[in-house]
Formats: sequence, structure tokens, C-alpha cells
Amino acid sequence: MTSPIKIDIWSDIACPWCYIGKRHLEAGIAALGDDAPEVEIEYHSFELSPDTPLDFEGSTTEYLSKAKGLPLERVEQMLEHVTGVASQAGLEYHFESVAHTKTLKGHELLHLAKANGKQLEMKERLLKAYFTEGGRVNRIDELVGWAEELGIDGADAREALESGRYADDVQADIAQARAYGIQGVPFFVFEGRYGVSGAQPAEVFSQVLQQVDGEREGTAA
Amino acid sequence: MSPESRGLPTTEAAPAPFTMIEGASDELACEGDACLIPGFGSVDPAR
Repeated sequence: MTSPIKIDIWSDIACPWCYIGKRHLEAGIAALGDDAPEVEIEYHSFELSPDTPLDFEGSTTEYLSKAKGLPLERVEQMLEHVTGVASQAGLEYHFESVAHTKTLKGHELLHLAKANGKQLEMKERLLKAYFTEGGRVNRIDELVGWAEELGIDGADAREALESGRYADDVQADIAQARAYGIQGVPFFVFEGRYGVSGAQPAEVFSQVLQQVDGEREGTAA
Repeated sequence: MSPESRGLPTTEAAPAPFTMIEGASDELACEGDACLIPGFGSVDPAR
């Protein structure tokens, strides 16, 4: 019996392409149907914009316009573009309600969820909260609520987040990405052998999985 | 799971041990703050 193909993914929460890439990977696996190899997915933390304020009290458009020195209208056009790409992937982005914030606490919650065997569900929950629901992924009260939604003990989640129990694990993930030279996310590593950068089309993920699976069969033969 | 236990090197063992698969476009990834404006990684704000 072969073990699952390991897929390590470096990703942020405040990362529109990361959510789209998640869907494309899922679609790439699903497209293989009964031939799809078993996979084991593990998410790793990455902070795209460490200088993001903890609580920016304006719209995404205003923040980006100010941060990048671009006219509001131009930022709006670009956000409309990615909203359209997301929609094609079956995702609903509402940039008008996105709450810009640092994501480190959210990443700590992802590590707690991993310890509880629920990392994939939590990744999905936090991305949806951020891009669709206007959730604040830095606020402990909201994070605890999402933990409880997934059946994780709320008191334990609160203690973990308040004490920074997983802060070192988050930084270790970020350091690992730096050591690999990863500058952009999402970044996928298949079985420790093949790297894929970006939310590539589902077919790319299907092909990589088939290649890795084929190589394993060749080795086993 | 630690990097060692899944066959990946630790942070001391750069460079990356994997082969990059070339995909369709670099625009599909976020890089630094530029990611916050998707697909606009190379913009020069001064222009």
C-alpha cells in the first residue's frame, strides 16, 4: 500500500490568489476522478505584508490606494478583476467589506487547528471569513468563535491565542519559506520534490499529481 | 509535522530541494505587498 502524496502549501490568509489556488488544487485532484492518488495536504504560514496595520479602519480600496499611491478608480478596477477570477473558481469575494489586518493570529489558529486534526477546515473557514464575510482574522474573540464552529475547544483556543502557544511555529514556517527562497504565495511542494508557484490552473495540479504518482509506481515496480 | 519527518530539509538546509514546475503565469501568485493588488506585482506607484 502506498502512502498519500504529501502536498505542503505555503499560504497567507490575506491572499486572494491563495484561496483561488486552493480551489484550483481541489479541482485538479477531483478531475482525476477514481484515478486520483490519495493526498495529504499541510498548510504552512506565510505573512505577505508584515507592515499591515493591526486594525485599519477604512476600505480595502482606500488602503491599497494609499499604500500603493494609485487612484481609487484604478484599484477598484483591479479588485473587480480578481473578484471575477475568484468567481470563476466558485468563490465570492467582497472587497468592500474586507477588513485589512495582520494575519499572524489567524496563522496561530491554523496551527492549533492542525494539532486538532482540522487544519484544512480552518484554512477554508478563515479564507471565507476574510474574503466573503469581512471577518477580522486578528481578533481573538472572532478566532475563538471559528474554532468552536469547527468543534475545537473554545477555552483552549483562547488560551493558545492569548499565550502565543503557536507563535514560534508560525515563525518557523515563515523562516522555512525564506530558506527555500519562496517569495510569493501560494506555493505548493509535492512530495518534497516538485514546486509549483501560484494559483495555476487545475490541469497543472492534475499533471503534477499524475507525474508524482507515476514516478512512485515506477519506483515500486 | 516537522520538516525532517516529511523528508524536507530544515531551515539550515537551503536551497530548496525541489524542481520547479513552470505554470501558466506569474500573475497568479502574490508577492509581498504587491499581492494586495492582485496581478499588479510590478507596478511602479510613482508612475
